[in-house]
Amino acid sequence: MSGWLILAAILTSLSGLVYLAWTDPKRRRTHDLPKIARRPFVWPARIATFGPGVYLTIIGHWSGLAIWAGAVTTLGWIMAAITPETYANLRDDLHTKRASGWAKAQQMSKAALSLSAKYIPGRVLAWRIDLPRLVKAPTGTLQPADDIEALKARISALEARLHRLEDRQASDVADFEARDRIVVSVGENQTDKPLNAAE
Amino acid sequence: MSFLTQAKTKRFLAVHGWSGTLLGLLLYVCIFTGSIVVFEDEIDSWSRGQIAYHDSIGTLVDHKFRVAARNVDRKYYEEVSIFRLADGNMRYLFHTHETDQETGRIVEPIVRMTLDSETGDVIERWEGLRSELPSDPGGALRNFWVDLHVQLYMPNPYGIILVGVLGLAMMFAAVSGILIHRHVFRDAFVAARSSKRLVGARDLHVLAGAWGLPFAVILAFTGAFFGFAGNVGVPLMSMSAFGGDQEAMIETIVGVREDIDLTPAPLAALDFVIRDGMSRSGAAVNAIQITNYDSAGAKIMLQMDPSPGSLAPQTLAFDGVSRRFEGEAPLFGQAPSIGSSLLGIIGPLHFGNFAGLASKLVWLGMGLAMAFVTASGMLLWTKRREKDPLWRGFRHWIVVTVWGLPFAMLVSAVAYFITVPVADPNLWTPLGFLAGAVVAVGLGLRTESTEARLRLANAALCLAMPVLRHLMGGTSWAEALIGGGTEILVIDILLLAMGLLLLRKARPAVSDREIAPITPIQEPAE
Repeated sequence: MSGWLILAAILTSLSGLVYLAWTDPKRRRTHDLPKIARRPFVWPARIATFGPGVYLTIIGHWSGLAIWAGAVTTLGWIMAAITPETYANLRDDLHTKRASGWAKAQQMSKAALSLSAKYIPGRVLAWRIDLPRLVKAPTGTLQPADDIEALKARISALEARLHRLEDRQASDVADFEARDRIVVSVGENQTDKPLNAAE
Repeated sequence: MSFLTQAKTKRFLAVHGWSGTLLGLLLYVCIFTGSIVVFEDEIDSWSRGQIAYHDSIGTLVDHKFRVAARNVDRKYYEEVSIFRLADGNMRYLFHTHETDQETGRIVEPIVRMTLDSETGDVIERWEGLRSELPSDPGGALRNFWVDLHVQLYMPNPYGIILVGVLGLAMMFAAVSGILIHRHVFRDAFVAARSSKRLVGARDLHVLAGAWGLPFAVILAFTGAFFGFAGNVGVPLMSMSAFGGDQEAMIETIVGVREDIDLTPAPLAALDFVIRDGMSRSGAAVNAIQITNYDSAGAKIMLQMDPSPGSLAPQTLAFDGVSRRFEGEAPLFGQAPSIGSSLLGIIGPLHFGNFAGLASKLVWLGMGLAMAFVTASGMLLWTKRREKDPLWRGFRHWIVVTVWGLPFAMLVSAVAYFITVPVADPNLWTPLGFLAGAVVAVGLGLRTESTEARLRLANAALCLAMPVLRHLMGGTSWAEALIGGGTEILVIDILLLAMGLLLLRKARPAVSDREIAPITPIQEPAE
């Protein structure tokens, strides 16, 4: 009972923290995410974050309070430390891995069935089932026997990642040049040249 | 958020940075080892290859204890301790206090008995002075890692005092860090920007520091307390209030039972006392202490496990003959007080052992977060000054220490497992650590890719450790599963997972591996 109470307290606080982190203006700004015009649930999220701690204090569950506080700060730190880019990459990876994993599973089941058809007598195989047709694909992944779709998903995920990397590189270069650029006058014209190209 | 002027902020920043830089490496060692030894009991049973016994002392103690006590001289009846060892056997310690004729110092003659908890047979008996107790080879790894944390493996009391100073430095760094950082709440969700510049490193440090602040203060304060209380606090108090007479101070604080009736009288049935204590506290008995056993002035103290929801364990006092409950014995002083209660929670708050594995896991997480704050702070401070070759070199050796410490600890574990069947692991475990440190320094002499090499070395040892443990006669996973040896399985699996993670991180980045170099397009000849 005590363990479940503490777990519930930690999960409640974590849900509040996820909302606060997701809608945090500075986090969104520093990671070039689109602005969110309104944050209607900030106070409920704050209450969800701190409320369980207050509740544990009121009922005098001191060991629960210590575990809750430690777990929330550690998990909150880990959650805040993961960048939105990493989240996006993880999501892409998961998506493509699920898709390709499903395609592989289908290939293997097909191979197993064709082997069984080859070596097991027809009468025994009267109950043989076409596994890929029977088993439904998990929600959100590609349909059975659709290897090309799996590849397409993989390619689009990689392209998205490449675009993000290019954007980041471009912004880094722009930052760098803006900081170190000097203005060198050549005759009447003024030309911007980087330091190392001053010659 | 900040209440400081710009000039004061700058001064605070300088002190914050310099104190962290000067003591940072030692602080990192202390915090990292502290995070690991939160699991000292689990490490002990893992390294011994024994399935730990989790039950408390039980309720059938009385008869076996009386039979064992009959074979002990009455002079040792002054104090008796009864507790259960990790392997399930019972340990009885009979001891008294005498003044050594040669040195004039108080010594503790002791009779130590280990009994089979089922049959009551005496497995081991040892007599001598407490200071001469033989070291336990099976616990060498645990003891070494604990010593490394508690006193940095330095002689007593210098090591403990130094660790106390480190605790104070950590507390100062935590508080000053928050004072100089003006947007601590506003930046609570700002992940490190993906930049190679300073701002990314600063984000990492500030984020971990802000989230870990409450526990940094708690762990630093309690650690500093343990560092100073015995070696500095008590002598200071006795000097200032009792003219240096420590015995008078202890008599005032703890009280002296001058009217002890030593007339022989049978001890009350221990099993009844245990049941009474359990019903009063709602928790199991962890240890029993009997003073003046077998006399009319006997007292029984039950040290209980923490009851559900509480942090500190209780100690219940009973009359040793009539079984009358005398109340909860305060940890400090002669009557319950706020000071005694606060003192009672310092230990659990520092060790994180008040709610079993759950609290230990949380304390491990917080400890590692603090180690990360310390390392990232030092790296940030040196990155600001990396144009100076001296600071650049220091930065390199910080990286060597950060990765070399876990490597040396793993090598000490290897040395322990190899030597425990054939030699004295109490000698070879520290030597293994030293060898690991020398190898880490050797790898650090090559400045390029030091971090990757040490990461790889750590990964290799993490992956090899469960195999080595098993090869040297440790409990197999099947035995651990059947016998309930969760610690052995969990630590092995954690090591394997850590090894795989480090191996994955040690691989070159995707962009380096997968993107082929761009070859210039050959222009057709005109």
